[in-house]
Amino acid sequence: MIAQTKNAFGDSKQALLFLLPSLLLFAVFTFYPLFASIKLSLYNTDLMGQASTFAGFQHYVDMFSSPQFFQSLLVTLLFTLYTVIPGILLALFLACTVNRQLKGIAIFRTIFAFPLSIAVAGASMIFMMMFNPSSGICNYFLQLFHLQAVFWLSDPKWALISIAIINIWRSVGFNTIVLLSGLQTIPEQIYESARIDGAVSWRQFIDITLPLLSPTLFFVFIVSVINSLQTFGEINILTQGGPVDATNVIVYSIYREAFFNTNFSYASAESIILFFMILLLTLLEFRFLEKRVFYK
Amino acid sequence: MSTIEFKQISKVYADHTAVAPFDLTIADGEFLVLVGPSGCGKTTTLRMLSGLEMPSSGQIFIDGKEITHVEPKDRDIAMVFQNYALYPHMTVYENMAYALKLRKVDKKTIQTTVNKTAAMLDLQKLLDRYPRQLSGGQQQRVALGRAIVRKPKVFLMDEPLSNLDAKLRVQTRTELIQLHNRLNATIVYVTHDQIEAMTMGTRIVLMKDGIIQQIGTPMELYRKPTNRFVAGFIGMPPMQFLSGSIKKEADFIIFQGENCRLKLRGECQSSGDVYLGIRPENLKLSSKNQSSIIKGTVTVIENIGSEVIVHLTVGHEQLVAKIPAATEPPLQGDSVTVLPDEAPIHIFDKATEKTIARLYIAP
Ligand SMILES: Nc1ncnc2c1ncn2[C@@H]1O[C@H](COP(=O)(O)OP(=O)(O)O)[C@@H](O)[C@H]1O
Ligand SMILES: [Mg+2]
Repeated sequence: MIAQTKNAFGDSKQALLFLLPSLLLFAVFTFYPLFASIKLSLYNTDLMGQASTFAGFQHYVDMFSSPQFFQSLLVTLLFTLYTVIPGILLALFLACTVNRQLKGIAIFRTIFAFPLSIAVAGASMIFMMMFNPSSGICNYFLQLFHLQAVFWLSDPKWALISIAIINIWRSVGFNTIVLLSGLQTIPEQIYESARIDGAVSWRQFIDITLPLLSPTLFFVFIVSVINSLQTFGEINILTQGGPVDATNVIVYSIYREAFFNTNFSYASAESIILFFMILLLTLLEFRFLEKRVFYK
Repeated sequence: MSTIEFKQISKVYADHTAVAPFDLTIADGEFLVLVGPSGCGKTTTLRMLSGLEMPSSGQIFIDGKEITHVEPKDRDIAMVFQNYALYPHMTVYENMAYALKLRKVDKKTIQTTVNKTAAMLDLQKLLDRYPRQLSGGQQQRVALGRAIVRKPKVFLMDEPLSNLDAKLRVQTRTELIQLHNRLNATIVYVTHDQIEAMTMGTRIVLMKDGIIQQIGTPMELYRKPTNRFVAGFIGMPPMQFLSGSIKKEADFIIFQGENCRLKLRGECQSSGDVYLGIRPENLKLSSKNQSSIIKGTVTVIENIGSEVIVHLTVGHEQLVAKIPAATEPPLQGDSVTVLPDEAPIHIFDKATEKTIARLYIAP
């Protein structure tokens, strides 16, 4: 008994040793900035971003009474809605389609991994050309169908949707690959069994695929939401939060407050709120995954 | 009433024939066993009957109605898979109720049907469990129950016992026989195990390399195998073979092999090189007989309690004899003589391996 405890203690010491490098990295690049941000959000800052006088929760009070913050919150929410739901549906559709044709699966995986390998700046440039109101391919197609030209990036009604399209394009490959691997864990015989039991294709999808894929779907959902909440590159390159704040999501607002308005404390307060939003989602996911140590 | 008819059914995959064209009629209430070594096309045949696989040629009829290209769900069949293929996210009850739910059976009827079937299979206490919370034997019973609630015309089973341990397998075998009697259902059962085939089947279809070798009752296959493969597949231990040649000598037929000479009687037109087949249970130790003899050396003795299995070398060939435990067994290394008893001795053509005669030992 005693020997065992000793051994366990020795093991955990050894484990700690192995974890040390990553713990160090975490400390320097994650924990330190986090605590620095919390501190900044509670202080007034000078022009160099250094904490000067203690402000308590004043910046949070300012933030929650600012219509601009709620505008950012709304834009962020809408953006998440526009990207996550259609993005997952599209990935699900692609994954189910590819899953049927096991032969070319390696090729499809490569194709799906493709958008992942393009830097956000590159993707943004490609879409900037495609979204160009006069020479872009998007309006060319609209014109083919006798539809009115759209000012993709400069019309406040369309800008957020356009950014969402880029975001979906960038993440759909990853989502598809993950969903595909989830689909592949469902044994073929379960479908055959369902076919004999009398389930037609859409019934199999509802009764077998969706429930058995739910852990994977949930994972993709959480990752997509977090990814949406952190979208920055496309916005910074293409719209800078505009037109008229139509794409001013929280992350961009943080950036603007900090580096244009030199309002570091306010930006820190916003980032703490964002941090808690993401933390909540992550906890939610762990809870869910823990509760369902599935079916195996 | 459910009869099944295969007409020239075959299955060809890209480059090889999994099942060669065959005809087969299965009568109502039969327990038909498809048996053969792994890869011989049993599963493919069953899957063509289920509709999960489309035949390359031929037609299938159930009750006289052609169903060759009918969807599985419209064939009124139920299948028990080798690994059970239970729905992992559904409870035992939901697993059993699913097919009925899809058929829009009302809730009340579903409930009584499932409960009745659960009682029959001793599953009442497990209805709220998920498959992962069940033992292999219990999962197997759920898979069976899922098929039974459907009251299908035909039950299809693909090696349903092969994932069970030996003891449970024997027990479930008996239960399946009882179930068949009780439901009076037509069952098509696939197995690679000849004992399952012998004990459960009302009729056996023995396959090899996609070709049906013989169709018959268990005893027909045991007593009158049509070729050397069937003879060597059925029986435990299986039939033993010695190579040699036969020739007529007066009213008798003489088999001459290495360290082996047998004087036989019976009808046989041919002569020349043959295999001689004897079942181990028909070999006796050192009987006195002037005109016949098989001389061998004991290599291994297996005493299984009720019987002793004696492994011998006869010249360059192996021979196994099964003798009653009451007899004093020989020792390893002993030279012994063995002789067949009055049971038929099978003669197979050396080239075609087809049965050419059944002869008896001459006194
Ligand atoms: N989908 C398939 N594609 C190609 N060959 C197959 C396929 N399914 C089975 N086979 C081949 O057909 C033969 C019969 O297989 P199967 O019916 O599963 O045998 P059994 O059930 O008797 O072990 C085997 O040689 C197997 O390799
Ligand atoms: Mg098989």
